Amino acid sequence: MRQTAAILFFPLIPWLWPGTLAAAESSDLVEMRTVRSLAAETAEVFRLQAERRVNAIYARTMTENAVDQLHDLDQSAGGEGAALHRAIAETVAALNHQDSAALRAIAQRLFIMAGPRGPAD
Amino acid sequence: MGRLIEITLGIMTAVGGFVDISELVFAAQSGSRFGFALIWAFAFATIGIIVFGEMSGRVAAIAKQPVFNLMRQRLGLDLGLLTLLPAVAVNIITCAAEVGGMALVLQLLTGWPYKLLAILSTACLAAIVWALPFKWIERVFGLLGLLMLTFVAVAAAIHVPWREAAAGLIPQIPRGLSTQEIPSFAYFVVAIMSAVLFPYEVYFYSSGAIEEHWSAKDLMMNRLTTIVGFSLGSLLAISLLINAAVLFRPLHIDPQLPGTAALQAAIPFGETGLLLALFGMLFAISGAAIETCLSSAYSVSQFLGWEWGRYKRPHEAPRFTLAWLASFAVALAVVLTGIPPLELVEWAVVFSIIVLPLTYLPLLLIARDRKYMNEHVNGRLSNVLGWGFYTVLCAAAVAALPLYIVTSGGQL
Amino acid sequence: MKRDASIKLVSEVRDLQIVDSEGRNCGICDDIEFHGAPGTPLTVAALLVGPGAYRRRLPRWAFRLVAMIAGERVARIPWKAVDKITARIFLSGPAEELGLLRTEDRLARAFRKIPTS
Repeated sequence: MRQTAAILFFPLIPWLWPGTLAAAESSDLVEMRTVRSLAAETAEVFRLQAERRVNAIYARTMTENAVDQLHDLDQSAGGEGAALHRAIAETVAALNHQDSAALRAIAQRLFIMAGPRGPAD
Repeated sequence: MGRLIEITLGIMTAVGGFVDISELVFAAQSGSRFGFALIWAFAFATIGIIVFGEMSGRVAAIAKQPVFNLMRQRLGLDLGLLTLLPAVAVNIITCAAEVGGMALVLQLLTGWPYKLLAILSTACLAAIVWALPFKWIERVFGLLGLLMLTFVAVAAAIHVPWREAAAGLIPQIPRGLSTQEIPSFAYFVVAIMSAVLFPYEVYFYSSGAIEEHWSAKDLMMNRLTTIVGFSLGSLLAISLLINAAVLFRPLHIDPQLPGTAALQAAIPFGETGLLLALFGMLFAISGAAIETCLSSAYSVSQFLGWEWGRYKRPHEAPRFTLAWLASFAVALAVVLTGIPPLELVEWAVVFSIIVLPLTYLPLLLIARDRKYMNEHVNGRLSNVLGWGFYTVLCAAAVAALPLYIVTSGGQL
Repeated sequence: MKRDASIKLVSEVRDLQIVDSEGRNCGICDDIEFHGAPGTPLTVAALLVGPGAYRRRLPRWAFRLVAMIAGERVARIPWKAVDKITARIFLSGPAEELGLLRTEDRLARAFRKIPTS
């Protein structure tokens, strides 16, 4: 989608160039934030499952979807971003163990690493 | 009494049918990213959809012609095609996002495979549209979509700092945002406007008005349905935002999975809340899938002058029937390619805002034309608001794609 | 407005919905055919309906695309078959007599075989 959108907007590139460069350099940041959020979401799912506030089907499906999304992210990152690959591997391992505390710790660490740019983070 | 019931049902249907997958996604992400700071964007966009919705209903009741007939007459063939084709493409992408969203919610309820559920749910929707009368379809999905009120109950149950939330109604850029965050904030404003003002809502609403043979005596119902119904519907979307701001932001959750929205109900209400939220999402999204599909068929049929209408039986409007069946088929094919529904939502939202100025221009021109509208032509308020919003939409249409590229879809 | 009154062809005939004597939608007036020659009065001969009538109204590449998808059929409605023109064009006879709604009727026969409510 992003490649198609960029091609469609080719004539505006001289004006968009600084922003486009920033977007390319920051794609690691976007992916780290995705991993952070997936870790946080699934941590909350496991916490609620332990309190019997969500059922097993919901928890299992959310976990599977999160793992799928992380694998896709891992593949699309290719050989770049060792820190990103490490974060993904840790998160997947914590998901497979349904370790809510580990997932929360990963989310917190990634928030500090890839987070603060203002109140939005 | 019958009239009162009719109006009440119309309002409730508008409320239950307001939220679709794009509002679900952007409301939750807005709240978790920017707290209460984007409530004003939802309120602002809701005023826009009220203005254009009321206008489209009034045009249908008085000019007794549907949007794309009027568009063809006002714009001619070439400009008309330039409007029709992107509008149909956006409708189908949106329909695909809704079908994908339905399959995801069903997966969360049943645990069955996603693609199988996409096929089954599309077949089920097609059977429902084929067999059930139009009124039933509209009412059933609209009223069952009221299960989304679960999210309003969540907002009442959790400790929302209401004074801070109310401050979110004031147009603002949150203090302390970096220069890199401001374009993301702007992208969310544009995306929210697009999600609330999706063109399919206007096509479906005005086509439904013609199918129900609205006339001048229905103008009050039109006004009440749009003003009250859309306002209350907007509260559903705003409650999703508020809940995300209170529950998700402290946990660093920036919803990446569509099912995460349902956690809002699980946190205070447990499994009952979760199930009510999931069923509410299912019916709201399914209703939107039907609306987007029929909107494509309405647009094409009206532009080409075919017999059309869901009040007719399939063999009485066969090309219209083929058009909506084809819309479902294409939407399903898109889903089966494996493109995630959230990505389809992004496509739909970005390209919809680009198409919006072309969609609403003929409506504005007809609604102020005495030749079509007689004494029911736009008053001063409708003209000011209509053209005001139109100007904002044009600016948003120009900004949408650059903002999407520069902010990586609002994720920076 | 009757068919022998004066009209603006672009704004008051072309791109209007056509409705037959049984109240069915029969397409849009896509173009207008004239008879005449230099020095003789120009008269409206027929309304043209169908994708083939887009040839003179669209750029060549756009027409080729439309023709690939929808074909190049044109149905010709003689001007004398027009009863009156208001916001729509009303015909004096049923669609079948004028070669309209053929695709519609074929599809209708197929859909009749599938049960509805």
